Amino acid sequence: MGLDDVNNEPKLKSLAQAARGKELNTARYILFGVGILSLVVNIGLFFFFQSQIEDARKRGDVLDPQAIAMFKIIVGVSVAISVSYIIFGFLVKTFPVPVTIIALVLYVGDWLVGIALNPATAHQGIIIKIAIVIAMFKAVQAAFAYQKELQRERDDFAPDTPHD
Amino acid sequence: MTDDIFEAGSSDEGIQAHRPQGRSPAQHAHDIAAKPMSIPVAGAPGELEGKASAAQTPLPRLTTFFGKEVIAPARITWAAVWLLLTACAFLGIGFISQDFRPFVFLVPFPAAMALALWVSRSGTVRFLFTEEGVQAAGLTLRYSEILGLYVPDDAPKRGNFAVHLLHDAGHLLIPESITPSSLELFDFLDSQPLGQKILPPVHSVFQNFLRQQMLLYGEKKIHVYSAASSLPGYRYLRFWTCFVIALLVTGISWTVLPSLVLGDRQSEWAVVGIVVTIVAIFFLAICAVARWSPRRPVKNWQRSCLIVTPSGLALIQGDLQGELRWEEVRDLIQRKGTVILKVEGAQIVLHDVFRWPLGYIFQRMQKYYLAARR
Repeated sequence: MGLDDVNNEPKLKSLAQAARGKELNTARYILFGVGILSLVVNIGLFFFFQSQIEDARKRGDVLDPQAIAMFKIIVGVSVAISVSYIIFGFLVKTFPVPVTIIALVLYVGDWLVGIALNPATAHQGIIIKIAIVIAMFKAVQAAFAYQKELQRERDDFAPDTPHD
Repeated sequence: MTDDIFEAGSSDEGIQAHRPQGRSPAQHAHDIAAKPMSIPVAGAPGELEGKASAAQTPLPRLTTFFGKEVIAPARITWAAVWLLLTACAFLGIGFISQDFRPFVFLVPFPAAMALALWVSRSGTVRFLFTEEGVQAAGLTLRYSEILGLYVPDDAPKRGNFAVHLLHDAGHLLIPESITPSSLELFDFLDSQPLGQKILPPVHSVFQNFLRQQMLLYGEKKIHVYSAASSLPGYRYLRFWTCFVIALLVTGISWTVLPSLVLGDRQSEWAVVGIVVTIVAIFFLAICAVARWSPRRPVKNWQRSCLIVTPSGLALIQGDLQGELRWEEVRDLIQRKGTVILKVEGAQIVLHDVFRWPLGYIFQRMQKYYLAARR
């Protein structure tokens, strides 16, 4: 058997791409974790405050309808973001670059909005939040390289463009 | 880093030739590192080996260690000695001052810790060298079964150093604490009729890769590292177990001795003792779990296999599987018992799950990686 025959045999997959895929898997687990956790917390908060509002109404307390509406909007947006993280978790391997970038921007944005609304919470869970941001930043880097390699593989296997 | 590389007996790159007389391992390693290296082209495998080997003549077989027993004695744990002296000093103060409080509160911990350090120290190892091979710890290794000698990168420039005898099933470590000179022993081993490297069977997914690489570079330039037969336990587990037992003894002493010796039934030390005892029991349970559940740095480590060639590597380790070209590698480093290959957007971490020391594998990889970068 010559070198040409061996070269024509099926090759092993790229180890670098497998390692990038692993990084994206880590990002997926983080997105699922953050999404599910914040979804549970937000739904819990919603029902807790809903029962508090009901109790206040039963007691005949005067409630600010604007504050209630604001609260519902904030919880609604938070739930939507949590669901987005879970959806991003499913899509991270299909659309690595846009998904990881949007997820990172959304996470950091959510964090900053939280600080703006309540500066006292700025230091809460800061180490975990920084760790998540670092992991997501690494996932963005991996996503760019993953996408580039996928594109290169597609170009390698694409049929030649017919000439006129 | 390559300045410290020194090995013998393996049959690759022509550096298996014996160390010239009058050259120390470090000097010889420098000679090897300084030697220009190029990746051979297809059709001319083994060209480098012939040239390099012809330049050096092998030494005659040395007989200095035949029939001799080399002992690596158990190290004296100076910390244990100091702690024991401290405990004795407290005991002495107690006797002189006729006050039992130092005995009750200050003696238990240093005494128990000294005992723990003494018990957890590595024991004496004996190596018997015969004309046929080496005998140590119930293992007999013929010289023909030794496929190479490996001295780690961090070996001291002066004095004794550890030598690993690489064989088909793993490696045997001759520690630096041996009584005779490691250098003499190395020269002796180097002059023995050591075995030739044979590629072990590889996983079926690597068959094509291996065949291709063998056609390109020849068998001598391909290195296959299969999984180790067993993994070592957690590092320092023995020490930590002994430390926790010492803590437990101390906690019990502080709880019981005040009422027994001093007749003080409401001592604050008893409360501290109970807390220390509970903490020690908790950590002892962790140590027990760590001892009974073997260390598994990666899933299915028994399947692990690594092939290192002049053009790249192929790996199965846990859920990582594939081939990698040296051009894709941005950096290659050794850190905390692992080898890290940095590629664009990710890093590949090789764990110590292979039959030969990871430091040895790193040296091999680094040589090819640096050659590919030139």
